[in-house]
Amino acid sequence: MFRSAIVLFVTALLGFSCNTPAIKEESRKITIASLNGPSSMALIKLIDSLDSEENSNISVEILAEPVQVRKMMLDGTADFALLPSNMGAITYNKGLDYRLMAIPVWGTLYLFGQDSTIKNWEDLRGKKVYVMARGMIPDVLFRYLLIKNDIEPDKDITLDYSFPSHIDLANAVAAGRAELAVISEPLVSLVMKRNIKVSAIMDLNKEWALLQGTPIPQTALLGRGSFIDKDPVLAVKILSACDRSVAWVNSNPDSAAILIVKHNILPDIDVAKASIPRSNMNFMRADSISNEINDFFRVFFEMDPDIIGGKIPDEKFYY
Amino acid sequence: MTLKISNLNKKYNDIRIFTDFSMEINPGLITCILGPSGCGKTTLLNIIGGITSADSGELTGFEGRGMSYIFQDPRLLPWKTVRGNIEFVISGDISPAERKEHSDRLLRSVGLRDFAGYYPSQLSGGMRQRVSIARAFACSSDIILMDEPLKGLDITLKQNIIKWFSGIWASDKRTVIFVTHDIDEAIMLGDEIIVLSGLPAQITAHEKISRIPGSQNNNNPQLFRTRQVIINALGNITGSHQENSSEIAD
Amino acid sequence: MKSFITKKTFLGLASVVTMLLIWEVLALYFNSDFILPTPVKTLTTVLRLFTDPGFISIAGTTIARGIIGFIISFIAGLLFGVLAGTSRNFNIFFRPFLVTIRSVPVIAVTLLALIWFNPGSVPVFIAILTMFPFICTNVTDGIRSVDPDLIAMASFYKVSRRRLLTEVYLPAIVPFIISGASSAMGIGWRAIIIGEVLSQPRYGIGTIMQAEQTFLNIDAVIAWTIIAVLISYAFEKLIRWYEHRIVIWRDRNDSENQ
Repeated sequence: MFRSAIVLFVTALLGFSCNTPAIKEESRKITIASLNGPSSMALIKLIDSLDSEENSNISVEILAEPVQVRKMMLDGTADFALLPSNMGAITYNKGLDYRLMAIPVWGTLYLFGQDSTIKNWEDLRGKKVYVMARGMIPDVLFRYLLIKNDIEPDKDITLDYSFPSHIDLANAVAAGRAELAVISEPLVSLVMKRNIKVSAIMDLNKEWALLQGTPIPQTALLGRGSFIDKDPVLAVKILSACDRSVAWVNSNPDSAAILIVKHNILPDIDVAKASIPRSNMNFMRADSISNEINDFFRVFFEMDPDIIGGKIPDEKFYY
Repeated sequence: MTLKISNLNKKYNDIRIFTDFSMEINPGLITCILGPSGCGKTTLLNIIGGITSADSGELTGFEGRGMSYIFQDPRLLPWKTVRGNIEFVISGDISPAERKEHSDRLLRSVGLRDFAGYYPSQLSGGMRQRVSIARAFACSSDIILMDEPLKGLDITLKQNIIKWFSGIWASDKRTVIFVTHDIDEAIMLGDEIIVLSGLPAQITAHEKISRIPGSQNNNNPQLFRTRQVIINALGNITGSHQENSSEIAD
Repeated sequence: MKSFITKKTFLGLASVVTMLLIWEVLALYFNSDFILPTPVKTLTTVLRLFTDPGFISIAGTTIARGIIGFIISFIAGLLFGVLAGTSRNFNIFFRPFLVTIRSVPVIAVTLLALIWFNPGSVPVFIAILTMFPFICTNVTDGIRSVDPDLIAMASFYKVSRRRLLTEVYLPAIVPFIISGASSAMGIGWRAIIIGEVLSQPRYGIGTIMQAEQTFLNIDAVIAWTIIAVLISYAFEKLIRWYEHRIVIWRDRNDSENQ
């Protein structure tokens, strides 16, 4: 009986080995893990072209949540990944060798709602703003902007976190239950389509750029360290493909909108068209803007080190 | 005043248990209703006790009399102590001190004074039955009904319980009606034995027991004779009755 | 008697040690802090969390929610349980309600609750929905299982209706109530924490777990899990201990099996 217990135990252990990185890399496609939102919108040309290519060795996975992207990074199935930049910093700081290669999507956060009386920061005094994800980037970022604009969070303005997920918050704004909210694209465009009384009141990316000098490096394109080291030329080629896709989307918003709807990223062509300019897609290589990104991390490090994983990533993070 | 049962009729599932049955019980005595299983003696007891109703008939002398019960299983509340169980049936405005004195006295008369604070789960079966007896006497009733209280106990235990019962009854002679199928129990405890047999049930014998006080009564010739009479009375069972007996809820 | 207790403690301890050993082996096998941090690292984190000043507000708020949820479930469960146990008609009428409450998936309720209640109350609401049917059914079962012979005996002795209720029914169902309460407590804590994860109130173990997960502090996630388990265990034990005190009439042998 004892012997069979050992056999069972060992079998169970071996069963766990499916979680460890797959060794058959050669037969596997180059995988890009992307988020369903501006990240995938930026890559839509690439995604669409892969559909028509029969034997492409690249595949793009569109995932709904950053944690799913992160999972693919944890088990090594993603060669490239798109994540909020702070999450990229966290994974790097925790020892996962994924390096920041480019920022394809910049700030997509907006203050929006039905309250048309807000023209500037001072008008927010005494108001209630609904924010999603307490303690996360949208929250910290907004608080930072408030402080810098002389509004004391929780004293001069009420921040409400009753709607914990971005979808709940979006619905609340559409239903008129939340008059002012901080939310990101593409939900901004989606809600505005649903409720014409809702408008984008403040572009937080612009506000940030006014203060800091650079826009918000919001989404990071990360590459697996072992992949980059093994074949840096191929890695750069992939980057170029992404770069071209972003450029194409920005120059051909109408066609891009059609593709975006075709691949189920957004339900509606009008929404897609409106969302493209608001999504601030602009492919920039990380090594050329590493100082700016570093400054960005520094701001958050000073407000709450945990948001970027406990420390500011060293220069090896930037490829 | 004599307790009378007159013209009792009771049918149960098409089986006639009692047809025009009449009986008299002398107060202040232990009357034993003896009969084989299924003859309807428990039904009779339940009718007297008001738990079952007869189809027709009259009960005289029973109204207004409080009744106590001793069942085959002691039926003690497991979450109350021995004393608590006894005091459970004491009703009315009595001070706690009086109540305690009352239960003390009863406990002593069944020899369980030292176990007053024990819980039923800590007592043996025989002891639990003694508590049940004490409880019956704690209640201010005139009549005590007992339904096969000694069934399933071994002979030593039976004698033990009979001893305690007799002791407590000696100083508080209430009318006792007790039902059993065991001749020895009847003879040991009863003052009068009414033998019931047949279906519908009929009184086939009515004996008065005379015991020689103080002696073991093992060689009492009168008792021996009485015993014979009873056995003969019980023996008057027709074949059909024996087949039917198991179908009646006793 | 003494040697028996030591044996029981020994076995319990051996069980915990074995769990820790298995954990250590697996942690070493995976060799990744993201999949399974080592027990040592995690337990150090637990200690760190305990001494952190924010601990009281976080754990305390979760515990407060649990207690409130439990009290409401208990009172309601007792009330409806007694009604269902004593009235056949009410029982038949109430059954569909009970079945619905029991079968609705937690997540569906949570999403609705987020619309109806503020984030702080959502976990309490979910906990009540989880615990209430439990306690209610247990109370009803308790009433149904009261020994009819004892009821008969009390009726024969013409005991007053009030005393029948308080001295026969109530003590009979106390074991059921306690057992129901204890089990409910166990699943109640789980519901509270799930509720907190989903509704993200300002303070709560569920909230902090979610945040730590986002920050990839897996050791903290497990540490908070351990704390949650300890809380659940402590309360369950509390109820069982209380049961012991008021149900001392049980057969002595029972106590050794607890």
